[in-house]
Amino acid sequence: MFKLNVLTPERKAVFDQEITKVTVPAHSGEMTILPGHSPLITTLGTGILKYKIKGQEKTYKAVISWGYCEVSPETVNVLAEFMQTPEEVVEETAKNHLQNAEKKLITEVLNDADYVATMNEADKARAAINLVKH
Amino acid sequence: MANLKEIRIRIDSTKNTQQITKAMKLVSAAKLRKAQHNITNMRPYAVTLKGVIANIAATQKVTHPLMTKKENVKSVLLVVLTSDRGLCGGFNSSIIKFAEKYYADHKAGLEKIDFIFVGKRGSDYFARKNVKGLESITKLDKDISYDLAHGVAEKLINRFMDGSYDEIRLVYNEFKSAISQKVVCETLLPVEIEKSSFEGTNFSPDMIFDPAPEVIIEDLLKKNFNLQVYRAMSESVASEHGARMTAMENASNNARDMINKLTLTYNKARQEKITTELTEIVSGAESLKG
Repeated sequence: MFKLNVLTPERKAVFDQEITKVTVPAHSGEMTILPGHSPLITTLGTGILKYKIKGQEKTYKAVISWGYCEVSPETVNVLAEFMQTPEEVVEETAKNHLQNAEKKLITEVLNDADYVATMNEADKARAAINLVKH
Repeated sequence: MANLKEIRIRIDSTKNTQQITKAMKLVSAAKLRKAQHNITNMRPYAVTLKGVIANIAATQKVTHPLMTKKENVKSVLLVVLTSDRGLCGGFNSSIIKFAEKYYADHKAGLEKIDFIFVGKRGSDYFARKNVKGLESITKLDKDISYDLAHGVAEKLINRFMDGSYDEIRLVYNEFKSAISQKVVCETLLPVEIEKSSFEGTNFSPDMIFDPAPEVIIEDLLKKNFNLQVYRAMSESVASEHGARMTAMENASNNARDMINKLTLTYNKARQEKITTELTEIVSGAESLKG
């Protein structure tokens, strides 16, 4: 039994789903977790979450942004602030967001908080574009 | 005696008002359902987050400025959550009354009390009283999103971290049920974490942390704070719709009573008129006979 829960403040995206493998954008790079992993807590950056449901060939994907991940041998709990599935991504909007964010980064003088927020915005859009491409 | 036409006009206008209040009630009911849905959706996230913070704090013995209570509190920032629109019964007035009372009661003991107003009603009211808030956040007409709450929370946390305030308190309407709301005043910062919630979890002591627990807990505390602000806002919105629903229900009932009363007066007046006319005709005929 290896289960995945993905929660966001706005919804319960994945709940008690039995999986065989999950990949998360962890603090120190992408990390794949297989059943029986030792207990671990890590923060998550912006990136793509991938998981395989037991008995299915298809890999499910979603963009997530900030979160933390708690791993125990039987369960993986992912808490993310933002989550978007491929069906929800509109490529045009994502491209626009990316363009705006990049423009802002180049042309404006930003304070630290704004800089981080804009970077995050750009990362989110980039991940969303990648998500629909592949 | 009021004449018949006047009464009929009044009945018609009351009927129109009743239609409006009925429609508003239905709209509020739909919005309330949505807001309640928001609150239930958030619960699992909130519970998990709070649990893990308590666990890390207890097992790793880490502390953080966001968690440490100040010995003597000198400056307080009061965040007052109201709505943008009126017609919702005592929703806004009870919040405003509470904020005023809090200010009057604590003015003497503290060095400074500042306000941040969320919602147009509150900021307008205090602007008339010449109390200037540090900031007014209005335009809540759309649904409260996590992003909006996040923005507000970020500002609050910065003000707390740079030491301008020892405590940040939030005044809002807690959602009890569709017909009852309660004004509550919560201390948002510093965060109080009950260590008791540690019991009964399967938190392994040889947990791997990446990055270090101190860094993780800071991140988690901030996120938890964002979430608290989001929760309070959602509760406030749900309460607003609940309050408006009740207010509109009452208004519709009052309109119904009024229409009944007016119809009765109208019928009486009509009957009286007929009787008078009949008497006139009969007495006219009598006099012709004679």
